[in-house]
Amino acid sequence: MLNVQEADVFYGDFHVIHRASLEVNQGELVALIGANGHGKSTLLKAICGLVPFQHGDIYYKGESIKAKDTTKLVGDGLVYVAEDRRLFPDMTVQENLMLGAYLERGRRRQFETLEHVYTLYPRLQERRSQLARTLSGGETQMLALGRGLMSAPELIAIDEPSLGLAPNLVANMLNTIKSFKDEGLTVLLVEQSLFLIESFVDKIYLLEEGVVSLYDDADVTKK
Amino acid sequence: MQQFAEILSGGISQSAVYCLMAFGLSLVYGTARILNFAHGSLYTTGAYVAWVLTVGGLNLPMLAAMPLLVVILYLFGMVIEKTVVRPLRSTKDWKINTMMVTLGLAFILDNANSMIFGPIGKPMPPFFEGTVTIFGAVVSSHRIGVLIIALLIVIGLELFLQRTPFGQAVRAVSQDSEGAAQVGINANRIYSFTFGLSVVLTGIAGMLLAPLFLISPLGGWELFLKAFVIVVLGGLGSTRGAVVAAFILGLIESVVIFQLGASWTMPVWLVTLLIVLMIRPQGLMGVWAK
Ligand SMILES: Nc1ncnc2c1ncn2[C@@H]1O[C@H](COP(=O)(O)OP(=O)(O)O)[C@@H](O)[C@H]1O
Ligand SMILES: [Mg+2]
Repeated sequence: MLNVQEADVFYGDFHVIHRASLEVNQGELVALIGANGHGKSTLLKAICGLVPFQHGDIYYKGESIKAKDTTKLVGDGLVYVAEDRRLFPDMTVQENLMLGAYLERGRRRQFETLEHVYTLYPRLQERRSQLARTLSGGETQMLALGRGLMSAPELIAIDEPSLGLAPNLVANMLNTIKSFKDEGLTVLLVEQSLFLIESFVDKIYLLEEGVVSLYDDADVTKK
Repeated sequence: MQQFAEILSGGISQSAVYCLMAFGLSLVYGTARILNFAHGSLYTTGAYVAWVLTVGGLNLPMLAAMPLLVVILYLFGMVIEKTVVRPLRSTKDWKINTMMVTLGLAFILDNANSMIFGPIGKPMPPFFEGTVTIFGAVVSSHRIGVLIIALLIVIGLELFLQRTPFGQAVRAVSQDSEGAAQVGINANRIYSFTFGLSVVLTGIAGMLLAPLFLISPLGGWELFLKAFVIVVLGGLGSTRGAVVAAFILGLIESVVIFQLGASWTMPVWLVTLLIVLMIRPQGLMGVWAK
């Protein structure tokens, strides 16, 4: 479904990602892990069309996405949930969610999806007329994921959903993400460590100083 | 007292026109982060186009001229955004660059207007004849008409921004443009739209005020400066702030004109602005402090 082939990403002269290759098949939950500052977010943004890549190519559903911008990709079901959430602070929870369904793709089933998001996160329903800026860290992350779901993704790329969450909320958050897979979504999940996720991911890539490598079970047990 | 009531009611309808100008200026800043220095020259251009469509040439009735004016100004605004402003967005210092290029555009428009229409002011008859008496104050019907038209437009815009998906997208871009991209909103479309809309609004303001002042090539600058003060007082980028600030400053203006004379308006406004900014650096309803 997603195929990254030898992609290079630069910020100006700063070479962040070196010949990265990775593959995510339909229905899989794939993790990309690595320590802070090694380029995980950068690679994810390149996949989602938010930063350009230089060498190599990225294929989504068999098509090169080199010439496509984020807007087109969202319309094609490739949805990105940012590490820094990127909500609309002066809009209500519900307005934020409805904006997730801005494109035709999400709008077609917006009310069913909204219902689904509220079932998943009753907390968001309670706070639906509150401004996004007034939410707590955990609620903010729920809203970011909920907004992503409103776009009716086929592949959802989630950047460090556990970042900044209280420890008791992390397991909950990761369980919800596991449930996305059970519902048939393809997931590319970025995290700093395998903590709590290694039991349910299908494949693990490790990103070290901009270099991607497949992480096998042997390595997992070693660490 | 009656004289004051008259000045006050004039001030209210003047405020409503300031609202239109300031709304557009703030909306473009809020979404595209562009401070449009041609806003006043576009006000004047709108007035001239309205003049050509009506008494100055085509002799169309007001009801036919209005929609035509809206279409012409909207397209003009979109073209400016696409050809003059957008190419600069990818440059390094695009904020200052776009500001300078809109300033250049202002001078081009001013010169073009004075070449085409000459330096002597053009008169425009009022759209509504006669006077109305409200609480003993005699007010021209034109002023009442201006107030109603401007208020209807502002209410319509507010409903559009709050209630329609496209209006929500405009707000989304102004609150977080990267977040907007992530839900599939094409920010460039929003930039052209808001620029086009702001030219329509300032042009309509020009048309509405034309019967009260003559239309002259440099007449828009004073209004631009006033709209600028209003927008900063309301909070850069906040359209609601602009509306509130327009009425506050418009009413202050009528008191100042009554007590001190029109030339004191700007000094008093700036002192007001200074006091507010010392207490609230982001302006009355601004969210960010820049
Ligand atoms: N917009 C940017 N401009 C320049 N450098 C950046 C930018 N974003 C991130 N970087 C740098 O790129 C490197 C990788 O960052 P990032 O992809 O955020 O890593 P991670 O998500 O793994 O923590 C870091 O050294 C970071 O400082
Ligand atoms: Mg990161």
